[in-house]
Amino acid sequence: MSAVIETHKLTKYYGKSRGIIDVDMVVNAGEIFGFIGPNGAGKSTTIRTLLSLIHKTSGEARIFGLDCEKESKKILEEVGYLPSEVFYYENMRAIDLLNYSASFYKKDCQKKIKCLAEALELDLTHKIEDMSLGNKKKVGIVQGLLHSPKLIILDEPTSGLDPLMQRKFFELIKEENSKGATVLFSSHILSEVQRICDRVAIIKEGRIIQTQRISDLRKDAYKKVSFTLAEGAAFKEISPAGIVNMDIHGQTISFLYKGDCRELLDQLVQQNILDINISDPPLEEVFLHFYTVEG
Amino acid sequence: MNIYFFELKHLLKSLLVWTVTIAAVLLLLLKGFYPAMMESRPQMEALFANYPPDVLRAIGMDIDKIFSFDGFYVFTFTYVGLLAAIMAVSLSLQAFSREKRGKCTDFILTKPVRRNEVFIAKSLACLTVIAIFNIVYSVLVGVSVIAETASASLSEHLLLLLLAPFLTQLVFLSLGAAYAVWAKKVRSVSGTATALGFAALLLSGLVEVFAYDWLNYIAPLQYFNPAFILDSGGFEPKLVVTAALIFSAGLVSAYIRYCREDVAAV
Repeated sequence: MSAVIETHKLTKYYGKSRGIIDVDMVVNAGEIFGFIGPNGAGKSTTIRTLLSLIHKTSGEARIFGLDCEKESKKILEEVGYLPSEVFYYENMRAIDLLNYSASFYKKDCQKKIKCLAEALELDLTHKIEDMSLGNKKKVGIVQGLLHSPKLIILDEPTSGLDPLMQRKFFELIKEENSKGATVLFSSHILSEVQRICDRVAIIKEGRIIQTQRISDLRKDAYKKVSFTLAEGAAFKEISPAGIVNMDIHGQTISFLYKGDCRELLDQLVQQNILDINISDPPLEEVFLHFYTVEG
Repeated sequence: MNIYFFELKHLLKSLLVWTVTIAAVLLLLLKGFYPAMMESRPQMEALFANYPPDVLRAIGMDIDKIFSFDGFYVFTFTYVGLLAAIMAVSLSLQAFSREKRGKCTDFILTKPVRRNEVFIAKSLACLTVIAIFNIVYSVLVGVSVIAETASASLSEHLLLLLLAPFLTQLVFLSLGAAYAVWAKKVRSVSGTATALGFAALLLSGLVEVFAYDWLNYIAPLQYFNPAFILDSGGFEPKLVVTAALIFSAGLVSAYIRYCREDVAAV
């Protein structure tokens, strides 16, 4: 698989303050790549360096094999970008903004604009400044996708969208992905990343601390087990290795478990269980140890 | 080209408003005020005799000169020049701060276009608007001056006189561009342009009041003052060089900054 985005020891300092340090990242063609970290970790700095909005201090960044700074014009022909907060020109209708946006690309984007606006239920005749936050965001989505880019870069894109629209948005992104677009998706909301991404890089204090497949992350992850015993039934001690955070509250017992499922089930059938729930803990819990500041 | 036409479209309203305003002021002064003033010369002389000479100089009122058409034309330039300067600053502020004011610099700079292309397109759009304005202005002044056949010296130096507002506008265009690019925020285009214009008028006032030659160098409205042309037949070379330096410094510094700056997230 060829790399669409490739960075090597990419570093950016703002004066003396840290932006990102030695970021190594490879995003392969056709994948949806998640980029997560808390606010201020360096997600936007990485993205803005890739887009040549800011200039790297050192290291290397390439998109489609081209240098991000020297060949930004060529790169940007095939990149769609959606920032976390969308702002546009004063006094402009959505359709005029989108036509202006389309005028930068050497292809006819009218059909795509119409399709996207319909999918997002967006009225293009309104002035952008009179629109609600959510509708402005929709203009941003159309603006980012209207030229059917080969690489879509999303920087915390779902803020301001209601859950229904978020779903619609993810459908659109998945559709573009199925047509061959590569997606870089930055977020601090882990469930979003879990929902859509193939792989994920975790960034903390300017450095990438881990890159993993979402499925692998889950495989190694703890299961959350919670069950209620029948009235009067006594709890029989269970002891497979890998149980942590055991909590016994009346007839309800809960814990986190990592290990062989059969071993756990063998012990659970010994209990007089009324109700049981075994679930994946949200990624927030899985990643918690990456986030907590060491020391 | 799309950026050029986009900017041009958004500057057209300004072009229209400013052209009508400046033409109205010019025609009012040359065609309305001047003939009326000539008729009431004795009364005006009596009126201005009560003013302190410094005040009269500061507002460009030299009684002897003003009653000649040449002198009156110079007097009108104090105001037409000021308006033209404010217009130029306003145009370049609008064009170069358009994305900053809309917080959408990300939008334009993530399009497949180089930053220098954006800068050049914006500059060309401003220049086009100024050129159109100056053509209209020149036709108006040309017609007025030719109609006043009595003024041989004005007709003789007509070309230079017509260049004066254009060259003044170039200097102010560059100042506006530099301000727009270097300032962190541009809150009000008209407010900033008016403030800059009146600051320049104040400096010109100081030149008239204190009559130090060196003050001319820091008063951009003086660089192409028609008074020099009528006195000596041409622009003052040292002031032209100063104007050229300021024009280049403003535009080049804005260009370099625009092409190199890190665009902060909003």
